[in-house]
Amino acid sequence: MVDEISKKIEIEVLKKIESGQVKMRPKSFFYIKVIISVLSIFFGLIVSALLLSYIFYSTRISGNLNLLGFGSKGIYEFMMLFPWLIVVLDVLVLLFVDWLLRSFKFGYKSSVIYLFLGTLVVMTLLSTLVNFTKFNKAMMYRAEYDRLLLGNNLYGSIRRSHSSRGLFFGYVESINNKSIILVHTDYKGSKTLDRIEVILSPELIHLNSIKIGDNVFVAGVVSPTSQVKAYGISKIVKLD
Amino acid sequence: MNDETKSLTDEEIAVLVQNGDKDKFAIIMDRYQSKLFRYGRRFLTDVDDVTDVVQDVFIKVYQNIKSFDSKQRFSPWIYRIAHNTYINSIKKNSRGPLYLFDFDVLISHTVVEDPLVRGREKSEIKKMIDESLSKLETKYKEILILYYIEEFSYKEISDILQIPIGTVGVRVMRGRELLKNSYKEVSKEK
Repeated sequence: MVDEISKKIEIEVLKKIESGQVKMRPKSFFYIKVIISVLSIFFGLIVSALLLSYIFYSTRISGNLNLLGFGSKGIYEFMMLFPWLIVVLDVLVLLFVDWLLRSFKFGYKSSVIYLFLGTLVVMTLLSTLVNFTKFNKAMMYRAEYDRLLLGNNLYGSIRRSHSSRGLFFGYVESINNKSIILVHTDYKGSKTLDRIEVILSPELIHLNSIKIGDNVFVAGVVSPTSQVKAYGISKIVKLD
Repeated sequence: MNDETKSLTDEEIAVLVQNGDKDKFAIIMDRYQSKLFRYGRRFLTDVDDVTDVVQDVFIKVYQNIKSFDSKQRFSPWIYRIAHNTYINSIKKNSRGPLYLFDFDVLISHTVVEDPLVRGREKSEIKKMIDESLSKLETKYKEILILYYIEEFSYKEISDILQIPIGTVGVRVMRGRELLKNSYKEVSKEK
């Protein structure tokens, strides 16, 4: 019975080959497949690196990194403002790149964890290189004037104050015993200036050596009278 | 088939087919039909299903023959296609996923392949496979068949299943233990 089945299979397959129903794929098909895989891996790594560099850049420039030094309330605000969605997207892109890499010998011969760590290292190095360029700065400036095709919200919101969360950044216009007047901008193309009174303990002013004209990041609680009772303040470097 | 053709290796025949000698493909089918049929019977019970899958395998082999690198062995390459085709067929017929996320491939394992051990255990394992293989998960079934019945090395199995060599070793060890336990239970029932 097995011989009969074997003969049947052979006849069927050869018939399909002779009739042209089944054709050999040309070598170029396989070269193109490899090229597409390689390009997809390359672009995947680039996208992943850009996403990671955005995370580093936005966390630094927005001043949110300073929140980690402002006690438990600061850490809470940091966690709430951290771009978690971008992190998830980045991990998904990395996993996609790893899935593509597993179709190559060096990919499937490695364990999943080593492959993931390897691509993570490559992606981190690439994102560090991006951070040495002015790419993110340029994207941010364009987004603040709504000039980006994609990512206006992402880049445009980096330097925005979060007044509802009591987070502001701007420059010190004047200093009193217990408060400072902060002039903050909401970077949205035409800069609009707003003044707020920030109540600070003398220790906070002294510890941070705050002077008039300094650019600062303030975290506090906004009172009904629109004063801000600060729990943290940090000097920051001004970007033009 | 003349003597000259009989003496050609699978790799040489594959090269001839790649260069347009379609008739030589019948030799590949002759040499591998019964092996692939036997391999498939371990996974699919219905003879018609196995026949369809074997036919699909040869069609795919012919369609993709130009991707075969003649510097490599032909056997693992055709078994790679067969493995994928059988797994797809099982997935179509089963209700749930074939197996959930495979933790064996997550981390690296260090294993040493000992062909002498395989040689000693071969007849014992083959007997157990005939009696108890159906009770094992697919991932252990396929590895035991490839290692003990088809006698591929760990490296070749790694290329067929596209998993790390360490994972092959771990699965062979675990599969062997599970098979022995399953065989003991089957023997008790008898």
